[in-house]
Amino acid sequence: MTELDITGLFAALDIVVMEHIGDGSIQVIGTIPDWFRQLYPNVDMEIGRLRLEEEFSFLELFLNEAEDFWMKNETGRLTSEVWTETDSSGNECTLEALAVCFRGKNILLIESLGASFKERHAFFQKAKETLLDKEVLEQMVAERTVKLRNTMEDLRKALDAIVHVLALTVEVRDPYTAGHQRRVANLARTIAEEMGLLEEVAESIYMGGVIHDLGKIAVPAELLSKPSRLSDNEFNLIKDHPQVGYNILKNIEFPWDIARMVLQHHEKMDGSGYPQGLSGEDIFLEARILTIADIVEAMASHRPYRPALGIEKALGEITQNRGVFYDPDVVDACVKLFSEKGYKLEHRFSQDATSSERYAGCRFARFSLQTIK
Amino acid sequence: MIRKKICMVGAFAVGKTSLVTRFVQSIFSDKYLTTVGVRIDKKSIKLGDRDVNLILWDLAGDDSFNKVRMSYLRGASGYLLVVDGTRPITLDTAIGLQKSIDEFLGKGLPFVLLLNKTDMTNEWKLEEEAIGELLEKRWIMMKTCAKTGEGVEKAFLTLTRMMLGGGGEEVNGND
Repeated sequence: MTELDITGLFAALDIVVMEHIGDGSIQVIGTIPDWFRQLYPNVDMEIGRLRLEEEFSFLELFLNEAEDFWMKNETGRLTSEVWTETDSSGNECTLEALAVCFRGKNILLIESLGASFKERHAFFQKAKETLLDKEVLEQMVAERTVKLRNTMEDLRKALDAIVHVLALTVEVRDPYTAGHQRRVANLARTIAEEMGLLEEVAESIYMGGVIHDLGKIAVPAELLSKPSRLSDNEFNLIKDHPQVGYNILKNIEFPWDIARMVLQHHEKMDGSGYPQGLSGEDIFLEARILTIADIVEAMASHRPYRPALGIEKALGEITQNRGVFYDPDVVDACVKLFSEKGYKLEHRFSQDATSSERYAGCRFARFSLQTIK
Repeated sequence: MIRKKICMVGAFAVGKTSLVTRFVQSIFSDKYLTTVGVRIDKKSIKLGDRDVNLILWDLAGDDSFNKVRMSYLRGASGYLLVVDGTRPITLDTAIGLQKSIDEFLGKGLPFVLLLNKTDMTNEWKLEEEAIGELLEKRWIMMKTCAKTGEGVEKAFLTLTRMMLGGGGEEVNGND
Protein backbone atom coordinates (compact mmCIF):
# COMPACT_ATOMS: atom_id res chain seq x y z
CA MET A 1 0.00 0.00 0.00
CA THR A 2 1.47 3.38 -0.95
CA GLU A 3 1.79 6.33 1.38
CA LEU A 4 -0.96 8.02 -0.58
CA ASP A 5 -3.21 5.05 0.02
CA ILE A 6 -2.58 5.16 3.76
CA THR A 7 -3.30 8.84 4.22
CA GLY A 8 -6.35 8.42 2.01
CA LEU A 9 -7.52 5.58 4.20
CA PHE A 10 -7.14 7.63 7.38
CA ALA A 11 -8.89 10.60 5.74
CA ALA A 12 -11.76 8.29 4.91
CA LEU A 13 -11.79 7.10 8.53
CA ASP A 14 -11.76 10.72 9.75
CA ILE A 15 -8.63 10.08 11.77
CA VAL A 16 -5.83 12.61 12.29
CA VAL A 17 -2.43 11.12 11.54
CA MET A 18 0.74 12.68 12.88
CA GLU A 19 4.35 11.68 12.86
CA HIS A 20 6.44 12.36 15.89
CA ILE A 21 9.50 14.33 14.82
CA GLY A 22 11.07 14.61 18.23
CA ASP A 23 11.67 17.53 20.49
CA GLY A 24 7.93 17.60 21.27
CA SER A 25 7.07 18.36 17.67
CA ILE A 26 4.79 16.44 15.38
CA GLN A 27 4.16 16.61 11.67
CA VAL A 28 0.59 16.30 10.45
CA ILE A 29 0.32 13.76 7.65
CA GLY A 30 -2.41 14.06 5.11
CA THR A 31 -5.63 15.94 5.54
CA ILE A 32 -6.64 17.59 8.79
CA PRO A 33 -10.34 16.93 9.47
CA ASP A 34 -12.58 19.90 10.16
CA TRP A 35 -13.46 18.67 13.63
CA PHE A 36 -9.80 18.85 14.59
CA ARG A 37 -9.46 22.42 13.34
CA GLN A 38 -12.59 23.42 15.23
CA LEU A 39 -11.26 21.91 18.41
CA TYR A 40 -8.09 23.94 18.26
CA PRO A 41 -9.06 27.12 16.36
CA ASN A 42 -6.15 29.10 17.79
CA VAL A 43 -3.58 26.76 16.30
CA ASP A 44 -2.26 27.43 12.84
CA MET A 45 -2.52 24.01 11.26
CA GLU A 46 -1.30 25.10 7.83
CA ILE A 47 2.33 25.05 8.83
CA GLY A 48 2.08 21.29 9.15
CA ARG A 49 4.42 20.99 12.09
CA LEU A 50 2.91 21.42 15.54
CA ARG A 51 4.13 21.42 19.08
CA LEU A 52 1.78 19.51 21.35
CA GLU A 53 1.61 21.95 24.20
CA GLU A 54 -0.70 24.56 25.67
CA GLU A 55 -3.83 24.14 23.49
CA PHE A 56 -3.20 20.41 23.25
CA SER A 57 -3.01 19.87 26.98
CA PHE A 58 -4.22 16.27 26.92
CA LEU A 59 -2.05 15.31 23.94
CA GLU A 60 0.94 16.95 25.58
CA LEU A 61 0.56 14.60 28.52
CA PHE A 62 -0.10 11.57 26.33
CA LEU A 63 2.94 12.39 24.21
CA ASN A 64 5.12 11.88 27.30
CA GLU A 65 3.83 8.33 27.64
CA ALA A 66 4.01 7.79 23.87
CA GLU A 67 7.64 8.90 23.76
CA ASP A 68 8.50 6.26 26.38
CA PHE A 69 6.59 3.73 24.33
CA TRP A 70 8.39 4.63 21.09
CA MET A 71 11.74 4.72 22.79
CA LYS A 72 11.29 1.14 23.90
CA ASN A 73 10.48 0.34 20.29
CA GLU A 74 7.67 -1.87 21.45
CA THR A 75 5.31 -3.59 19.12
CA GLY A 76 1.57 -3.15 19.44
CA ARG A 77 0.06 0.17 20.33
CA LEU A 78 -0.43 2.52 23.21
CA THR A 79 -3.96 3.84 23.63
CA SER A 80 -4.88 6.87 25.67
CA GLU A 81 -7.93 7.09 27.86
CA VAL A 82 -10.78 8.92 26.18
CA TRP A 83 -11.05 12.64 26.73
CA THR A 84 -13.73 15.16 25.89
CA GLU A 85 -13.23 18.73 24.75
CA THR A 86 -15.59 21.38 23.47
CA ASP A 87 -14.97 22.83 20.02
CA SER A 88 -15.30 26.43 18.89
CA SER A 89 -18.98 25.88 18.09
CA GLY A 90 -19.73 24.57 21.55
CA ASN A 91 -20.00 20.94 20.47
CA GLU A 92 -18.53 18.28 22.69
CA CYS A 93 -16.03 16.02 21.02
CA THR A 94 -14.79 12.80 22.61
CA LEU A 95 -11.39 11.70 21.42
CA GLU A 96 -8.95 8.88 21.74
CA ALA A 97 -5.27 8.89 20.85
CA LEU A 98 -3.15 5.98 19.76
CA ALA A 99 0.61 5.66 19.44
CA VAL A 100 2.20 3.07 17.13
CA CYS A 101 5.51 2.40 15.47
CA PHE A 102 5.03 1.96 11.73
CA ARG A 103 7.90 1.32 9.33
CA GLY A 104 10.33 2.88 11.78
CA LYS A 105 8.23 5.99 12.23
CA ASN A 106 6.54 7.07 15.40
CA ILE A 107 2.93 7.64 14.50
CA LEU A 108 0.24 9.30 16.56
CA LEU A 109 -3.39 8.78 15.57
CA ILE A 110 -6.28 10.81 16.96
CA GLU A 111 -9.81 9.67 16.46
CA SER A 112 -13.04 11.46 17.20
CA LEU A 113 -15.17 8.72 18.67
CA GLY A 114 -18.48 10.34 17.82
CA ALA A 115 -21.48 8.04 17.99
CA SER A 116 -19.37 4.98 18.82
CA PHE A 117 -18.62 6.53 22.20
CA LYS A 118 -22.30 6.55 23.14
CA GLU A 119 -22.38 2.81 23.60
CA ARG A 120 -19.26 2.86 25.73
CA HIS A 121 -20.63 5.75 27.77
CA ALA A 122 -23.94 3.97 28.29
CA PHE A 123 -22.05 1.02 29.76
CA PHE A 124 -20.15 3.23 32.20
CA GLN A 125 -23.29 5.20 32.99
CA LYS A 126 -25.14 2.02 33.94
CA ALA A 127 -22.19 0.80 36.01
CA LYS A 128 -21.91 4.08 37.92
CA GLU A 129 -25.64 4.27 38.56
CA THR A 130 -25.52 0.73 39.91
CA LEU A 131 -22.59 1.66 42.12
CA LEU A 132 -24.46 4.70 43.36
CA ASP A 133 -27.56 2.62 44.15
CA LYS A 134 -25.37 0.11 45.96
CA GLU A 135 -23.70 2.85 47.96
CA VAL A 136 -27.04 4.39 48.90
CA LEU A 137 -28.32 0.99 50.00
CA GLU A 138 -25.17 0.27 51.99
CA GLN A 139 -25.43 3.64 53.67
CA MET A 140 -29.08 3.01 54.48
CA VAL A 141 -28.26 -0.40 55.90
CA ALA A 142 -25.41 1.06 57.94
CA GLU A 143 -27.65 3.79 59.35
CA ARG A 144 -30.41 1.37 60.20
CA THR A 145 -27.93 -1.01 61.75
CA VAL A 146 -26.72 1.77 64.02
CA LYS A 147 -30.31 2.65 64.92
CA LEU A 148 -31.13 -0.99 65.55
CA ARG A 149 -28.01 -1.39 67.66
CA ASN A 150 -28.92 1.68 69.67
CA THR A 151 -32.46 0.41 70.14
CA MET A 152 -31.11 -2.98 71.21
CA GLU A 153 -28.77 -1.25 73.61
CA ASP A 154 -31.65 0.78 75.04
CA LEU A 155 -33.74 -2.36 75.39
CA ARG A 156 -30.85 -4.13 77.00
CA LYS A 157 -30.41 -1.31 79.50
CA ALA A 158 -34.15 -1.34 80.20
CA LEU A 159 -33.99 -5.09 80.69
CA ASP A 160 -31.05 -4.78 83.04
CA ALA A 161 -32.97 -2.17 84.98
CA ILE A 162 -36.05 -4.40 85.19
CA VAL A 163 -34.00 -7.36 86.38
CA HIS A 164 -32.21 -5.29 88.98
CA VAL A 165 -35.47 -3.74 90.19
CA LEU A 166 -36.91 -7.24 90.55
CA ALA A 167 -33.83 -8.31 92.48
CA LEU A 168 -34.13 -5.25 94.66
CA THR A 169 -37.72 -6.14 95.46
CA VAL A 170 -36.52 -9.30 97.18
CA GLU A 171 -33.43 -7.75 98.67
CA VAL A 172 -35.40 -5.04 100.44
CA ARG A 173 -37.10 -7.75 102.45
CA ASP A 174 -34.01 -9.86 102.90
CA PRO A 175 -30.87 -7.76 102.41
CA TYR A 176 -28.53 -10.77 102.59
CA THR A 177 -30.02 -12.21 99.46
CA ALA A 178 -28.51 -9.28 97.62
CA GLY A 179 -24.96 -10.40 98.10
CA HIS A 180 -25.91 -14.02 97.52
CA GLN A 181 -27.76 -13.41 94.26
CA ARG A 182 -24.94 -11.24 92.89
CA ARG A 183 -22.25 -13.75 93.83
CA VAL A 184 -24.23 -16.65 92.39
CA ALA A 185 -24.79 -14.64 89.20
CA ASN A 186 -21.07 -13.88 88.84
CA LEU A 187 -19.97 -17.43 89.54
CA ALA A 188 -22.61 -18.94 87.23
CA ARG A 189 -21.55 -16.64 84.39
CA THR A 190 -17.88 -17.51 84.92
CA ILE A 191 -18.67 -21.24 84.94
CA ALA A 192 -20.58 -20.80 81.68
CA GLU A 193 -17.62 -19.00 80.15
CA GLU A 194 -15.27 -21.71 81.41
CA MET A 195 -17.51 -24.29 79.72
CA GLY A 196 -17.11 -22.37 76.46
CA LEU A 197 -20.75 -21.37 76.18
CA LEU A 198 -21.62 -18.40 74.02
CA GLU A 199 -21.17 -15.00 75.60
CA GLU A 200 -24.86 -14.34 75.21
CA VAL A 201 -25.74 -17.56 77.05
CA ALA A 202 -23.30 -16.69 79.82
CA GLU A 203 -24.92 -13.28 80.06
CA SER A 204 -28.38 -14.83 80.28
CA ILE A 205 -27.21 -17.07 83.11
CA TYR A 206 -25.91 -14.00 84.90
CA MET A 207 -29.32 -12.36 84.54
CA GLY A 208 -31.01 -15.51 85.82
CA GLY A 209 -28.61 -15.56 88.76
CA VAL A 210 -29.37 -11.99 89.73
CA ILE A 211 -33.06 -12.82 90.27
CA HIS A 212 -33.03 -16.57 90.88
CA ASP A 213 -34.53 -16.07 94.36
CA LEU A 214 -37.24 -13.68 93.22
CA GLY A 215 -39.89 -16.14 94.46
CA LYS A 216 -38.79 -15.46 98.03
CA ILE A 217 -41.01 -12.42 97.82
CA ALA A 218 -43.89 -14.75 98.68
CA VAL A 219 -42.11 -16.15 101.73
CA PRO A 220 -43.04 -14.47 105.04
CA ALA A 221 -40.25 -12.11 106.10
CA GLU A 222 -39.94 -13.74 109.51
CA LEU A 223 -39.10 -17.07 107.89
CA LEU A 224 -36.39 -15.43 105.81
CA SER A 225 -34.65 -14.13 108.90
CA LYS A 226 -35.42 -17.01 111.28
CA PRO A 227 -32.16 -18.07 112.88
CA SER A 228 -33.33 -21.50 114.05
CA ARG A 229 -34.19 -24.64 112.13
CA LEU A 230 -37.37 -24.46 110.02
CA SER A 231 -40.30 -26.78 110.48
CA ASP A 232 -41.48 -29.00 107.63
CA ASN A 233 -44.37 -26.65 106.90
CA GLU A 234 -42.06 -23.67 106.87
CA PHE A 235 -39.66 -25.57 104.66
CA ASN A 236 -42.51 -26.40 102.26
CA LEU A 237 -43.39 -22.72 102.06
CA ILE A 238 -39.87 -21.87 101.09
CA LYS A 239 -39.73 -24.73 98.58
CA ASP A 240 -42.39 -22.87 96.62
CA HIS A 241 -40.03 -20.03 95.78
CA PRO A 242 -38.81 -21.38 92.40
CA GLN A 243 -42.40 -21.82 91.23
CA VAL A 244 -43.41 -18.38 92.53
CA GLY A 245 -40.43 -16.80 90.79
CA TYR A 246 -41.34 -18.63 87.59
CA ASN A 247 -44.95 -17.44 87.78
CA ILE A 248 -43.81 -13.85 88.11
CA LEU A 249 -41.33 -14.06 85.26
CA LYS A 250 -43.02 -16.37 82.77
CA ASN A 251 -44.99 -13.66 81.00
CA ILE A 252 -42.09 -11.26 80.67
CA GLU A 253 -40.62 -11.56 77.21
CA PHE A 254 -36.95 -11.73 78.04
CA PRO A 255 -34.66 -12.62 75.16
CA TRP A 256 -33.64 -15.64 77.26
CA ASP A 257 -35.61 -18.21 79.21
CA ILE A 258 -34.88 -16.74 82.60
CA ALA A 259 -38.18 -17.99 84.01
CA ARG A 260 -37.16 -21.61 83.34
CA MET A 261 -33.72 -21.07 84.92
CA VAL A 262 -35.42 -19.74 88.05
CA LEU A 263 -37.96 -22.59 88.10
CA GLN A 264 -35.33 -25.32 87.82
CA HIS A 265 -32.44 -24.04 89.91
CA HIS A 266 -33.23 -26.49 92.75
CA GLU A 267 -33.62 -29.54 90.53
CA LYS A 268 -31.08 -32.36 90.90
CA MET A 269 -29.67 -34.68 88.24
CA ASP A 270 -31.05 -37.78 90.05
CA GLY A 271 -34.57 -36.30 90.25
CA SER A 272 -34.44 -35.62 93.98
CA GLY A 273 -34.76 -31.85 93.59
CA TYR A 274 -37.79 -29.60 93.50
CA PRO A 275 -40.32 -28.34 92.48
CA GLN A 276 -40.78 -30.70 89.48
CA GLY A 277 -38.37 -33.48 90.36
CA LEU A 278 -36.77 -33.30 86.92
CA SER A 279 -33.68 -35.35 86.20
CA GLY A 280 -30.66 -35.40 83.87
CA GLU A 281 -30.85 -33.37 80.73
CA ASP A 282 -34.53 -32.62 81.29
CA ILE A 283 -33.09 -29.90 83.47
CA PHE A 284 -32.17 -26.79 81.53
CA LEU A 285 -28.35 -26.50 81.25
CA GLU A 286 -28.51 -22.91 82.44
CA ALA A 287 -30.40 -24.09 85.52
CA ARG A 288 -27.84 -26.86 86.17
CA ILE A 289 -25.14 -24.18 86.19
CA LEU A 290 -27.13 -21.95 88.52
CA THR A 291 -27.62 -24.91 90.88
CA ILE A 292 -23.88 -25.43 91.27
CA ALA A 293 -23.20 -21.72 91.72
CA ASP A 294 -26.00 -21.54 94.27
CA ILE A 295 -24.76 -24.50 96.35
CA VAL A 296 -21.12 -23.41 96.30
CA GLU A 297 -21.94 -19.84 97.27
CA ALA A 298 -24.34 -20.95 100.02
CA MET A 299 -21.87 -23.37 101.62
CA ALA A 300 -18.98 -20.93 101.41
CA SER A 301 -20.96 -18.13 103.06
CA HIS A 302 -22.17 -17.37 106.55
CA ARG A 303 -25.71 -18.40 107.37
CA PRO A 304 -27.92 -17.45 110.31
CA TYR A 305 -27.67 -20.94 111.72
CA ARG A 306 -23.96 -21.55 111.06
CA PRO A 307 -20.71 -19.85 110.14
CA ALA A 308 -19.31 -20.18 106.64
CA LEU A 309 -18.21 -23.73 105.80
CA GLY A 310 -15.54 -22.55 103.38
CA ILE A 311 -14.90 -23.09 99.72
CA GLU A 312 -13.06 -26.41 100.24
CA LYS A 313 -16.15 -28.00 101.78
CA ALA A 314 -18.34 -26.51 99.08
CA LEU A 315 -16.12 -27.95 96.34
CA GLY A 316 -15.99 -31.24 98.22
CA GLU A 317 -19.78 -31.39 98.23
CA ILE A 318 -20.17 -30.89 94.50
CA THR A 319 -17.29 -33.23 93.71
CA GLN A 320 -18.71 -35.95 95.95
CA ASN A 321 -22.10 -35.68 94.26
CA ARG A 322 -20.76 -35.14 90.78
CA GLY A 323 -23.09 -36.95 88.39
CA VAL A 324 -25.55 -37.72 91.23
CA PHE A 325 -27.02 -34.35 92.12
CA TYR A 326 -24.91 -32.22 89.88
CA ASP A 327 -24.01 -32.03 86.21
CA PRO A 328 -20.45 -33.45 85.94
CA ASP A 329 -19.35 -30.93 83.28
CA VAL A 330 -20.55 -28.03 85.36
CA VAL A 331 -18.84 -29.45 88.47
CA ASP A 332 -15.56 -29.86 86.56
CA ALA A 333 -15.69 -26.30 85.27
CA CYS A 334 -16.48 -24.92 88.71
CA VAL A 335 -13.74 -26.90 90.48
CA LYS A 336 -11.24 -25.84 87.82
CA LEU A 337 -12.14 -22.20 88.35
CA PHE A 338 -11.37 -22.34 92.06
CA SER A 339 -8.52 -24.83 92.11
CA GLU A 340 -6.63 -23.80 88.98
CA LYS A 341 -7.72 -20.33 88.04
CA GLY A 342 -7.85 -18.67 91.41
CA TYR A 343 -11.51 -17.72 91.27
CA LYS A 344 -12.74 -16.17 94.51
CA LEU A 345 -16.21 -15.42 95.73
CA GLU A 346 -16.63 -11.79 96.66
CA HIS A 347 -17.65 -11.78 100.31
CA ARG A 348 -18.58 -8.41 101.62
CA PHE A 349 -20.40 -9.82 104.62
CA SER A 350 -17.21 -10.45 106.49
CA GLN A 351 -16.01 -6.87 106.21
CA ASP A 352 -18.96 -4.62 105.54
CA ALA A 353 -22.06 -6.20 106.94
CA THR A 354 -23.38 -5.88 110.46
CA SER A 355 -23.49 -8.95 112.64
CA SER A 356 -27.24 -9.23 112.22
CA GLU A 357 -26.79 -9.19 108.46
CA ARG A 358 -24.19 -11.92 108.70
CA TYR A 359 -26.71 -14.19 110.33
CA ALA A 360 -29.77 -13.17 108.34
CA GLY A 361 -28.51 -15.07 105.31
CA CYS A 362 -30.56 -16.54 102.53
CA ARG A 363 -33.29 -18.93 103.57
CA PHE A 364 -33.47 -20.53 100.21
CA ALA A 365 -29.75 -21.26 100.41
CA ARG A 366 -30.33 -22.87 103.75
CA PHE A 367 -32.73 -25.22 102.06
CA SER A 368 -30.19 -26.00 99.46
CA LEU A 369 -28.00 -27.14 102.30
CA GLN A 370 -30.80 -29.04 103.96
CA THR A 371 -31.44 -30.83 100.73
CA ILE A 372 -27.88 -32.00 100.35
CA LYS A 373 -27.45 -33.07 103.94
CA MET B 1 -2.02 35.71 29.45
CA ILE B 2 -1.38 33.37 32.36
CA ARG B 3 -2.46 29.75 31.77
CA LYS B 4 -3.23 27.54 34.73
CA LYS B 5 -4.39 23.95 34.84
CA ILE B 6 -6.89 22.99 37.53
CA CYS B 7 -7.98 19.40 38.16
CA MET B 8 -11.34 18.40 39.58
CA VAL B 9 -10.84 15.39 41.84
CA GLY B 10 -13.14 13.32 44.02
CA ALA B 11 -15.35 10.26 44.28
CA PHE B 12 -17.84 9.54 41.52
CA ALA B 13 -21.13 11.44 41.39
CA VAL B 14 -20.09 14.17 43.80
CA GLY B 15 -20.77 16.90 41.24
CA LYS B 16 -17.36 17.70 39.74
CA THR B 17 -18.68 18.04 36.20
CA SER B 18 -21.69 20.02 37.39
CA LEU B 19 -19.42 22.46 39.19
CA VAL B 20 -17.34 23.00 36.05
CA THR B 21 -20.45 23.37 33.91
CA ARG B 22 -21.89 25.87 36.36
CA PHE B 23 -18.62 27.80 36.41
CA VAL B 24 -18.00 27.77 32.66
CA GLN B 25 -21.50 27.87 31.22
CA SER B 26 -23.64 28.96 34.18
CA ILE B 27 -25.99 26.03 33.67
CA PHE B 28 -26.98 22.97 35.67
CA SER B 29 -28.67 19.71 34.88
CA ASP B 30 -30.21 17.42 37.49
CA LYS B 31 -29.44 14.38 35.37
CA TYR B 32 -26.37 12.48 36.48
CA LEU B 33 -24.04 11.87 33.56
CA THR B 34 -20.88 10.03 34.44
CA THR B 35 -17.56 11.28 33.13
CA VAL B 36 -15.49 8.78 31.22
CA GLY B 37 -11.80 9.58 31.11
CA VAL B 38 -11.28 13.32 31.27
CA ARG B 39 -13.32 16.36 30.27
CA ILE B 40 -11.34 19.45 29.42
CA ASP B 41 -12.90 22.89 29.56
CA LYS B 42 -11.48 26.36 29.45
CA LYS B 43 -12.46 29.59 31.08
CA SER B 44 -10.79 32.95 31.12
CA ILE B 45 -11.10 35.01 34.26
CA LYS B 46 -9.80 38.31 35.45
CA LEU B 47 -8.23 38.37 38.85
CA GLY B 48 -7.31 41.86 39.84
CA ASP B 49 -5.43 43.19 36.86
CA ARG B 50 -4.39 39.77 35.69
CA ASP B 51 -6.07 37.75 32.96
CA VAL B 52 -5.92 34.05 33.67
CA ASN B 53 -6.82 31.30 31.26
CA LEU B 54 -7.96 28.31 33.28
CA ILE B 55 -7.74 24.85 31.77
CA LEU B 56 -10.12 22.71 33.76
CA TRP B 57 -9.44 19.00 33.85
CA ASP B 58 -12.47 17.18 35.15
CA LEU B 59 -11.23 13.69 36.03
CA ALA B 60 -13.56 10.69 36.11
CA GLY B 61 -14.58 10.00 39.69
CA ASP B 62 -12.77 7.55 41.89
CA ASP B 63 -14.64 4.29 42.50
CA SER B 64 -14.07 0.56 42.65
CA PHE B 65 -13.92 0.33 38.83
CA ASN B 66 -11.91 3.45 38.13
CA LYS B 67 -8.98 4.86 40.03
CA VAL B 68 -7.94 8.43 39.41
CA ARG B 69 -4.84 8.52 37.21
CA MET B 70 -2.35 10.55 39.16
CA SER B 71 -0.41 11.33 35.97
CA TYR B 72 -3.30 13.59 34.92
CA LEU B 73 -2.31 15.95 37.72
CA ARG B 74 1.06 16.60 36.11
CA GLY B 75 1.29 20.23 35.13
CA ALA B 76 -1.64 21.20 37.32
CA SER B 77 -1.28 24.36 39.38
CA GLY B 78 -3.96 23.27 41.82
CA TYR B 79 -6.99 21.09 42.30
CA LEU B 80 -10.47 21.14 43.70
CA LEU B 81 -11.24 18.18 45.91
CA VAL B 82 -14.98 17.61 45.77
CA VAL B 83 -17.15 15.92 48.40
CA ASP B 84 -20.88 15.19 48.34
CA GLY B 85 -22.20 16.30 51.72
CA THR B 86 -24.92 13.66 51.63
CA ARG B 87 -22.41 10.81 51.22
CA PRO B 88 -19.88 10.59 54.06
CA ILE B 89 -17.84 8.00 52.21
CA THR B 90 -16.92 10.64 49.62
CA LEU B 91 -15.07 12.56 52.30
CA ASP B 92 -12.99 9.46 53.01
CA THR B 93 -12.30 9.14 49.30
CA ALA B 94 -11.28 12.80 49.10
CA ILE B 95 -8.90 12.44 52.04
CA GLY B 96 -7.37 9.36 50.42
CA LEU B 97 -6.98 11.12 47.08
CA GLN B 98 -5.35 14.13 48.68
CA LYS B 99 -2.82 11.84 50.32
CA SER B 100 -2.12 10.08 47.02
CA ILE B 101 -1.63 13.39 45.24
CA ASP B 102 0.78 14.54 47.92
CA GLU B 103 2.71 11.31 47.53
CA PHE B 104 2.72 11.53 43.74
CA LEU B 105 3.55 15.18 43.26
CA GLY B 106 5.02 16.10 46.60
CA LYS B 107 3.31 18.26 49.17
CA GLY B 108 2.37 21.82 48.43
CA LEU B 109 0.09 21.70 45.40
CA PRO B 110 -2.72 24.14 46.29
CA PHE B 111 -6.18 22.67 46.69
CA VAL B 112 -9.56 23.56 48.09
CA LEU B 113 -11.98 21.04 49.56
CA LEU B 114 -15.49 21.67 48.30
CA LEU B 115 -18.42 20.38 50.35
CA ASN B 116 -20.89 20.24 47.52
CA LYS B 117 -24.69 20.01 47.33
CA THR B 118 -25.63 22.65 49.88
CA ASP B 119 -29.16 22.58 48.47
CA MET B 120 -29.51 19.29 50.38
CA THR B 121 -27.92 20.24 53.69
CA ASN B 122 -30.85 18.66 55.53
CA GLU B 123 -29.56 15.35 54.16
CA TRP B 124 -25.89 15.98 54.90
CA LYS B 125 -24.23 13.25 56.87
CA LEU B 126 -20.67 14.49 57.26
CA GLU B 127 -19.31 14.13 60.75
CA GLU B 128 -18.38 17.40 62.35
CA GLU B 129 -15.42 15.72 63.98
CA ALA B 130 -13.98 14.72 60.61
CA ILE B 131 -14.43 18.23 59.25
CA GLY B 132 -12.88 19.66 62.41
CA GLU B 133 -9.79 17.49 61.94
CA LEU B 134 -9.31 18.84 58.42
CA LEU B 135 -9.74 22.41 59.60
CA GLU B 136 -7.06 21.74 62.18
CA LYS B 137 -4.80 20.67 59.33
CA ARG B 138 -5.48 24.08 57.81
CA TRP B 139 -7.34 22.67 54.83
CA ILE B 140 -9.21 25.33 52.91
CA MET B 141 -12.86 24.33 52.75
CA MET B 142 -15.83 25.84 51.03
CA LYS B 143 -19.47 24.91 50.67
CA THR B 144 -20.75 24.87 47.13
CA CYS B 145 -23.84 24.04 45.17
CA ALA B 146 -23.66 23.48 41.43
CA LYS B 147 -27.46 23.53 41.34
CA THR B 148 -27.88 27.03 42.78
CA GLY B 149 -24.42 28.28 41.97
CA GLU B 150 -23.69 29.00 45.63
CA GLY B 151 -19.98 29.35 46.25
CA VAL B 152 -18.96 27.98 42.84
CA GLU B 153 -17.30 31.04 41.36
CA LYS B 154 -15.76 31.88 44.68
CA ALA B 155 -14.27 28.39 44.91
CA PHE B 156 -12.54 28.64 41.55
CA LEU B 157 -11.36 32.19 42.24
CA THR B 158 -10.04 31.20 45.64
CA LEU B 159 -8.04 28.34 44.19
CA THR B 160 -6.76 30.52 41.37
CA ARG B 161 -5.67 33.15 43.87
CA MET B 162 -3.86 30.44 45.85
CA MET B 163 -2.22 29.16 42.67
CA LEU B 164 -1.00 32.64 41.88
CA GLY B 165 0.58 32.90 45.27
CA GLY B 166 -2.22 34.45 47.32
CA GLY B 167 -3.76 32.83 50.38
CA GLY B 168 -7.12 31.19 50.67
CA GLU B 169 -7.34 31.06 54.42
CA GLU B 170 -9.74 33.96 54.66
CA VAL B 171 -12.37 31.83 52.97
CA ASN B 172 -12.85 29.33 55.79
CA GLY B 173 -15.85 30.04 57.91
CA ASN B 174 -17.26 32.63 55.57
CA ASP B 175 -19.35 30.27 53.51
